[in-house]
Amino acid sequence: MGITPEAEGLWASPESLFVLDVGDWKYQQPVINSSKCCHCGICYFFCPTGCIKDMRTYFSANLEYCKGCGICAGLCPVDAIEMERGT
Amino acid sequence: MKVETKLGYQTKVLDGNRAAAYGVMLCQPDVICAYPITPQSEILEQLYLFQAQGLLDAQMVEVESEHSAMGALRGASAAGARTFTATAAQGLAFMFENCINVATTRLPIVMVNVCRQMIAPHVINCSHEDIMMAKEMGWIQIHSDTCQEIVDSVIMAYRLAEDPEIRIPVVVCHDGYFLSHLWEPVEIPPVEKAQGFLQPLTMSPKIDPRVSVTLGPAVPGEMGTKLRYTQSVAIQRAKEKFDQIDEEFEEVFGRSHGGQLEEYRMEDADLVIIAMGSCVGTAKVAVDRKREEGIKIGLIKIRMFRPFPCEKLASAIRGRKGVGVLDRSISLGWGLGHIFVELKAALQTSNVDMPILDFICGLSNMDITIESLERIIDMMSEAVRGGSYKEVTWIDLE
Amino acid sequence: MTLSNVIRKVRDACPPDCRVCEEACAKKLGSAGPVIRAENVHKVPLFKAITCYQCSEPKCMEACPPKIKAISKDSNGVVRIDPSKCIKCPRPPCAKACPYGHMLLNSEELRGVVKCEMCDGDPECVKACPYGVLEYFKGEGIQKYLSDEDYLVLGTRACAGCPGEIALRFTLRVVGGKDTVVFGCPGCMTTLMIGWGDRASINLPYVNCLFTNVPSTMTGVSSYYRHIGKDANLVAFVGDGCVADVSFQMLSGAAERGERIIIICYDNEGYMNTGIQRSSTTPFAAWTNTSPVGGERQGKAQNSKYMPLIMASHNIPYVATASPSHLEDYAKKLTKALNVKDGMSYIHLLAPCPTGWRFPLDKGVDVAQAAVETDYFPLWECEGGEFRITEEVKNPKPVSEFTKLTGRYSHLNEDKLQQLQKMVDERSARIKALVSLTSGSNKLTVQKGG
Repeated sequence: MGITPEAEGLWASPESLFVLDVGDWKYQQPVINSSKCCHCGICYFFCPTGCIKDMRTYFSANLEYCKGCGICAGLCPVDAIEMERGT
Repeated sequence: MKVETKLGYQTKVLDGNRAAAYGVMLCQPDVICAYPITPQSEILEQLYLFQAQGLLDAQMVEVESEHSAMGALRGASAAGARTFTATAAQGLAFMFENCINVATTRLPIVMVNVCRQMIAPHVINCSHEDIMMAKEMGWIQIHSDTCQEIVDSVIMAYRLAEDPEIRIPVVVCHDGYFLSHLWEPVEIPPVEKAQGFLQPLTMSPKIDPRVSVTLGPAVPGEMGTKLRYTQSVAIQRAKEKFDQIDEEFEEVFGRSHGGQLEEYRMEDADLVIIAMGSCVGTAKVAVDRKREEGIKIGLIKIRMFRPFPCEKLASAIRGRKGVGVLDRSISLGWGLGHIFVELKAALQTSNVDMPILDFICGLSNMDITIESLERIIDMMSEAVRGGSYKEVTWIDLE
Repeated sequence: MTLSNVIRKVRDACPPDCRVCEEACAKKLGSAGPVIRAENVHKVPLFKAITCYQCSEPKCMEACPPKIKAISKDSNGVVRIDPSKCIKCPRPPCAKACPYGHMLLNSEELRGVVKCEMCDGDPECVKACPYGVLEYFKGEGIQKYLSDEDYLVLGTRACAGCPGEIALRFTLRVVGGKDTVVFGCPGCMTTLMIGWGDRASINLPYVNCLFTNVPSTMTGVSSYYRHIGKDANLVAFVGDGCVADVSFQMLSGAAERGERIIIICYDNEGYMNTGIQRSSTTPFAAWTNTSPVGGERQGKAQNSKYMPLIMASHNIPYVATASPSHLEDYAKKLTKALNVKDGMSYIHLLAPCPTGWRFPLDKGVDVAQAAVETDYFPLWECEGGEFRITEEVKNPKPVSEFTKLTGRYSHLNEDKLQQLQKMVDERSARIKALVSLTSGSNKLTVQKGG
């Protein structure tokens, strides 16, 4: 729903979402070995930024929103994710 | 949701608090959250009695403090409810941050404040100290001086607050003990008539589980500034709006209280007393007595204190010879009463060159007597005659 | 989204030379097995799979000759050998192809292979382990609670690796879209939801409140909705600063009145949003900027206020503790809270803070796991007046296993550690006593809304 001029500043609408540009925060980024990935979903559930995407048989990280924390690499039960320095 | 009664007009003998409760019952709010505090508790008790009698269909929430009372009204009002609370002094101070929040969120809440001194000293006495402390919270502020006026002011307050061009909360004030516990005959109109005077309340946007909106985002500086500007313009609109509502009220209910100001015997007045609250009744008697002595004196009753009725006051005072302001509070740091300070600021751009005297009276449950008012009027006459006078006089200490 | 299950290690509790998992596996597979190796189980750190990884592009499957094609990945994601097709090569190419050594030669027949196929969904090793070391992780168990939509924007202000954000994002996916209104107040997580100008950051109805008026605002909304007969879930995601300190009075009042609201407290044990200052949930001896370490002062002097038990003492219908390391447990608890219609639900969620507790960005979930493993943060619920432990920790590890992971405790001496251990033990014993006290017909009377 549109926000009327009187309500602007008091109410906000998700019609236009406010999204922060966080892609340049990271000093390391996840590299997911798609053939090793067993599609268990652990990285998907535990990624704080929600940037892990499902590719049906494996998962992949959306680097535009990844902050490079490395939780996915730490939790991956099959060591399919490695954190590489640089962005 | 709406209560139907077969009662027509009733005349009842009520005290100020019960009159306020009747006014609220006539407006049928959806949610009432209040915390008892002397001298307001009877308002709450009467409202619960109404609910038990089937005259009021509202959610009554026994919140654990005044802070939560205003917090709960914030939520209910933003979700679309008509709401009510009442408080005094310490309670008003405790809910202060929520009061500012609901005014800046533009919610049409109505509150009754029973005016009382702040602690210390540890007393529960009458003065205007609490509502003067709270005058900057962004609310519209109305004062009553009779029990009938309290009932009528509550109805007008809902009409004003909920007006689409206003949408600012309104506090309806009456003096602790001197009006809250004073019994007077009051005419109560039928519920349907009061309901007809109000429009059904629609909030948009509002809190709705099916509509994804955010209430209370963070904002950039320009938007935050614009918000204050819009709010400032809106509260100024309340002056004219209140006068219009008073005129309409007279058409429907047969009574007028004057709008922003009430003028009493002002047609040919040289001296003017400006007063607010329960002392107005007594001041009118003093004015009548002095008139019999040949002194051309009139009275201006301030009914709407926020927004401050600058234009109407300036035009009412123009051409007079002297003004005396009765202040039931002291602005610490100015050494002057609040109404006096605001009046002086309002007259700044008018060519007003006459003695304006400030009288601090009626603090801490002190009676404003006819005798002290006569002394006040004598001092005003002396000043106008060219004698020496003090800018501010603490009449109860002299 | 169909997810594969995985056998992983969730606890570091193996006694030396224990081979129970191996023995159970061998028993199941006959003398061909076992496919799990105990020394691998002993060695790997937490959250690592011990058995076949069930790869999405299995090298073994590629290696099996095309005319035979005995290996396939089934709909559950398990890589299986079809015994009717397998010709049992004496030098199996599949075993050679597996880079991880999880394709084992059949030691009985000396031809053909055995591999972990997770016992058709009921792994013997997991069942057999007496120390709760192994978990059969079923993503399905979490997935079924989540909506398809991620209601929170992807780019947020949260620190990298924030477990609070993991929990918030997860919470919104569980409670969102069910006629839910979300409430927040100043604190870390609000900065994610608060939006900017006329743009929201959360695609749900969201009410931002003052630090002090979350429970009261919710009371007002709940009262009005009751008045007009509107059914809605009101869910607050607020910090320990709000719940335990500034809004404690308001929260207690709402609980006593039996308001139908859900309060989720994400407890990062300090006022983190304002720059790491101590709160009443900051634990004993922890460093913060207002409980510093140096000279006379050695971290916080007082023990923390245990909010979940305080809320349970209000006799509200549902109270629980939760951890971002145990998402399925948390999802179940959220669902129970959503089903409470006649009173308040309270969930106390531990949210380790990399910035405030001083640990590396990738360790948030591990720290939460350690909190549960050491009984520092036991996972329990009180449902309808009956207490129960939802994640049983047999043989909790000493609390030093938790404190050593965080820099806020790097100054701990033996004396302070013992005091902390005592507090942890007392808290744990209290919960266990309540579990015994309130089981079955002895459950406590619940405070319902008026």
